[in-house]
Amino acid sequence: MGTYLIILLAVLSVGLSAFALWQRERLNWRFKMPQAVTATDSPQFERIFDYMAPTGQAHSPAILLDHDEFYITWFEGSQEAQADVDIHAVRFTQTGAGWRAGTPGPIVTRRALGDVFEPEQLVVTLGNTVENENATGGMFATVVSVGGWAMASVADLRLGQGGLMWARKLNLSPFLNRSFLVKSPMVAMADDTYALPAYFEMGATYGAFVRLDSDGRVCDARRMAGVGNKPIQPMVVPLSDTRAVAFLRDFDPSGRLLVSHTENGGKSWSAALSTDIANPSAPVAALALGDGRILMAMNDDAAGADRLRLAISGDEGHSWQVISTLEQDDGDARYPMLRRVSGGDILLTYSHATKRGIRACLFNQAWVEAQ
Amino acid sequence: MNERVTSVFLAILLGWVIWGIASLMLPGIAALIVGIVAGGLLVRFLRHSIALRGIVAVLDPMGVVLPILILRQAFGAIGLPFQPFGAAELLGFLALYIPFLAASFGVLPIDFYRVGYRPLPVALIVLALCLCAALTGHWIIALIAVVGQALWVFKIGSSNYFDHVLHATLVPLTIVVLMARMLG
Repeated sequence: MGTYLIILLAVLSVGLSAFALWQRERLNWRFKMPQAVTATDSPQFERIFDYMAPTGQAHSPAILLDHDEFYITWFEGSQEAQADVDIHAVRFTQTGAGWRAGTPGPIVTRRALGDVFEPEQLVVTLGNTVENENATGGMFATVVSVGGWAMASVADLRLGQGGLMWARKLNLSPFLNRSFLVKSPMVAMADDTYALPAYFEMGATYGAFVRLDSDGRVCDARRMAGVGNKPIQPMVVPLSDTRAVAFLRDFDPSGRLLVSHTENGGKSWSAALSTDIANPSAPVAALALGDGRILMAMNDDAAGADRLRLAISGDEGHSWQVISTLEQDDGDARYPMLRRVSGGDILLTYSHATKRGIRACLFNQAWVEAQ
Repeated sequence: MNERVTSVFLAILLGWVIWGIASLMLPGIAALIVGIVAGGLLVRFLRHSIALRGIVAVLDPMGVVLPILILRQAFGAIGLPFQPFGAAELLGFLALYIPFLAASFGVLPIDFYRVGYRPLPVALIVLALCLCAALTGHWIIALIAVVGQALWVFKIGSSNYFDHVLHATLVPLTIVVLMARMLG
C-alpha cells in the first residue's frame, strides 16, 4: 500500500512541478537606470523638517513617495528595540510657498500590525522602514516578535486611507525566518520590478539583494558576504544596466566603510572589502546622479557619528569630495536616507541629537553642482 | 502561512502538547481525545490572545512537517501501523539539516536555502524525497514533500519550499528522540 501511495504522490508532484514551471516569472537581472537630471534652476537648499521626540527616541527615518507628495517615517518610543516603539510619519504636501509638513504622528502601531498580520501574530517592537515601491501604499518594516534586532524579520505592509490594512513577512531565512532587516531604498530593475537590499544580522552577517515577484513574494536572494568583516545595511547604487556598487556598514568596529560590486545585475556580488572611507560603523545613503557620479550622505569620522557630510564621487565611488558638512558636534546624526522627490529635487533625512529627533533637507541638483 | 491553515496547524500543535500532558494522567485514547478537543477549543476561543499570537510569531512559518508528524503519531496511538524512523535515519537527517541551517547563518559560503525559491530544483528535490521514501519505506516523507510542494505552488504560506517541509524545531526534537532511545 505504501509503495502505491508513494508512486501516486510522485506523479502528483510531477504535475505540481509542471504547473510551477508554467507559472514562474523569469527574472531580468538588469537594472533600470534613472533618468539623468540636469540643473536648470538656481541653487536651493532648505531644511524642511526639524522634529524632536517629546520623550524617548526617534530614529531611522525613511522616505515614502506618493505621487506629488511624500512621507517621512521613523520609529519612535522610549528607546530603540523597546516594547513601546511604533512607526511615526509626517506627510508633506506641495503648496505655492514650497513643501508643507503635516502633523507628525503614529502611522503603524505594534498592536494594529499584529492584528492585520497574515497570520495574526505578536509584534513586540518595530524598527527600520523603507518604501515598497512594488505596491501602492506599500512599506517594508523591520519587525521583532521575540528578542532583539538579531531576531527581526522583514514585514511587507499595506497602508490605505483607513490606515494599516494588511501585512505579511518576507520569507528570507530557514531559521524561523529570523534576523533579516532592511535599511536602504529598493532598486528598480529593467523588468519593472524592484529589488530589496536587506541584511542578515546574526553570526557572520551579510548583505542580501532580494528579488520579489509580481505578487511581492521573495523569489530569489543573493548574498553580499564579507571577508574578515561583517557587512550589513547595503546601499545599492546602479551604475549601468548590469553594474552596481553597494556600500555597506561594517558591523565590526573596523572604522571603514565596506564596498561590494556586481557586474551581472545583482546575480552575484564581490566580497565586501574595506574602502578608504572612514566610518564609525554607521549606514550611508547614496544616490546616482548619472554619468558615474554618486552623491552620498555619510558619517566619515571613524571615532564618532556626530559629523554628517555630503560627498560626491565622479568616478563611480572610487574617490570622494566632501561638498557640505550638515551636522557636527551636536550629538550623533545617523541613518541618512536620500531620494529624489517629484520635480527632481533631492530629499535627505536623518536622525539627529543621538536618536532624539528627525531632520530633513531638500535641495536641488543646481545646489549640488554649485558646491 | 494564511490564517486558516495556521489556525489548523496551531490546533494540532497545541493538541499534541496537551495530549502529552494528559497522557500522564489518562489512558491513551482518552488523553488523545482530550488533546484534540482542547487544541481546537484553545484556537477557537484564544486565537487573539497574546500567548497564541506569540506562539505563531515564534514558529511562523510552521510548514507541514510538524502537523503531519503529529498526526502520524496520533494515528499510531489509535492503532494504525507505521514504521518509526531508525536512529541512523534520524542521525542522517541531522547531518544534512544542521549544515543547511549553518549555511543560512553565513557559516558556510553556500546558500542552500535559495534553491527553495526555484521550481526546477524544487521539482527534483521532491522526486528525490519520494525516492528516499520508497527506499526506506517511510511513505510519510513523500507525503510531507508533496503536501509541502502543493502549498508552495499555490502560494499558501512561505515563498520558499524548504519552509514548508522543514522546521528549526526539528533539531531539538530529533535530538530528544535520539537521547530518549539511548536512555531507554
